[in-house]
Amino acid sequence: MIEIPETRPGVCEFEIEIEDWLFKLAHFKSKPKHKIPVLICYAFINRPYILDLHEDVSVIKKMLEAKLDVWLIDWGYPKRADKYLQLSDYIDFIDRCVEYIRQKRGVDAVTLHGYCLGSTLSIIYTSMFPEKIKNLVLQAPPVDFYTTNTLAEWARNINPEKIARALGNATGDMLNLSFLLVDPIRLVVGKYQSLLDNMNNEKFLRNFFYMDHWIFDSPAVPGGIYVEYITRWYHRNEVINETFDYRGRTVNLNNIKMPTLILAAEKDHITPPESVLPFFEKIPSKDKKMILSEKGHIGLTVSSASQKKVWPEAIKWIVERSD
Amino acid sequence: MLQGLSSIFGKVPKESYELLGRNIEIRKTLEKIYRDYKAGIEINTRDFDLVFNEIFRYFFRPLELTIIGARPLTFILPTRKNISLFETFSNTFQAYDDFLKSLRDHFQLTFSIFEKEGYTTLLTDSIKEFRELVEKYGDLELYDFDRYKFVADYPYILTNRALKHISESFEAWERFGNDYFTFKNLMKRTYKKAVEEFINTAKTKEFGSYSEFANEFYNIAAKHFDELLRSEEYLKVQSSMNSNLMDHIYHFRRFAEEALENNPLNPFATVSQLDEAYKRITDLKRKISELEKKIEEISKDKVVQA
Repeated sequence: MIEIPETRPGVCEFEIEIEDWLFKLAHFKSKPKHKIPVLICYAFINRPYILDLHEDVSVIKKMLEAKLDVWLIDWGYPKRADKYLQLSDYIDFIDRCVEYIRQKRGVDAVTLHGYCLGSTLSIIYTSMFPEKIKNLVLQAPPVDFYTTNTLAEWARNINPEKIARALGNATGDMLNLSFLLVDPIRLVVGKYQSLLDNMNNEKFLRNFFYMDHWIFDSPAVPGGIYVEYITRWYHRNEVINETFDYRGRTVNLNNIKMPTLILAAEKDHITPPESVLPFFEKIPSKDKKMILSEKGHIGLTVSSASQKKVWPEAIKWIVERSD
Repeated sequence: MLQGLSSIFGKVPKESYELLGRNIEIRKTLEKIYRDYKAGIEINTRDFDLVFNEIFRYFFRPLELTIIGARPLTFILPTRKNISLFETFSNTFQAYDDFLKSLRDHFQLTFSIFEKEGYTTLLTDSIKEFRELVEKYGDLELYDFDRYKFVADYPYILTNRALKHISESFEAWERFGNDYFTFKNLMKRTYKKAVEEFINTAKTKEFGSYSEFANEFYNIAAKHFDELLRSEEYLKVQSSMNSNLMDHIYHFRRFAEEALENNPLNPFATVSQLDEAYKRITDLKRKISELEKKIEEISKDKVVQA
């Protein structure tokens, strides 16, 4: 009989401060000492609780222990009714959250922490409203989409309009299938063979099933968003080319002069470091730093190596710029 | 290998459960191959077939379901390709109709001759019953025959748009089927090459344990698939397969919607009609947000002026 530990992701308590149908702004309960709040802008693929998966690997918990004031945007589980959302709606919501936090905390600017595709949104927002961002933290950020990894090649070769027209939204199941097929031997075989080798290792089992719970809890991507991000980011590379526009403003990377921290992973098969290097070189910020983990896209957050090395260093960097 | 695997069903994601089960089978197969290898028995590429099926079944299943699930419908729905089938249905039903009518006429004539010649009393009870039955269905063409004709006639009830969508749906489905088999063949070919390379490696390399043996196989297979999945040939097939699958799904839905929207008895709103409502709601929501922002700005200005 195999004993599987119960998976209940989410360790830190929070309150929902804004709820706008699909989107939510969560505020983690704590007694912060540092003045500048941290707003985490997660990706619209997968769920943000990867940052608070369980006690041992919770990045949020580490931030709270460092006495930071942590807020998080949750893009929700889109339904068919959300298929007409556009990237501008997402940027509008980031602005709404930033404004809300600025007013509530009486600060001019916040630390914006983007994760994966949430980093891309964060870069767009920061380049357009630099006065509202004190520090920019980018985790596994795709900025230059003309990379040679398999997933990017696939994205450049698909027709997102047809998918949105047929399915309404890009479903979580469909996206999961693609993410696994990108590397079938390692992700479908190698990973589960390791599980078979560790069936008596309670800690391994716990980590494994918490991760799988998160991996297969995939929300759909609204049809309109799917079409826009595949076309404008993967096909046209509008962010690094500075042609992406939003309500009459255009991305200008020269505006990224604030302290900027980039967390990238060497073995990231989704957003390899090559996708952020041109951005890192291009921005004029004089206080910029890149921490390179030897892990992959998800290991950057939850691996024990990252928990011991990357996160203490990253949080220290944020804390030093939060007063 | 693992007793009681079913006890975790429902406790872990179904994907984890399935992949774990498949990996148990993969391990059993590779362990057997390793035992043979250690015993000096030559490894055969066929021994690895089960491993291929276990790895890729997860990916092939939804695609094969689309092919198998739609096949029966190709005989029922009036696509450009099988409209002649409906003409054949029509002719068959017409022939059956003609046969039943002539049979009825024959019996009516026979009974009238018997009656004329005064043989009515000689009719047995069963013949009487049969006559009543024939008379009861005297107007058979009014009540029953049209039911059969309808089967052959129904393409003409559908709108032109519905007929166009169903044809496009199944034309895309056929192209998707061809793409799928090319895709599957590419996967199989690549896997076979990987197995061959592994067998050649195993001939010259010593493996100290099952883990070393299996890891070498996984590394070689991963390398081959890394190359395949980025190749021009693969990208072309995957793109075409996706495109045709999505066209099939879209046109099939539009066909069903056309049929429903044009049926006055249909009490349901279609997905496209709901989409139109969702679009209007989303647009209105944006307008409300803009207005709220403007009101806020005006209020702030007033406070500053005061």
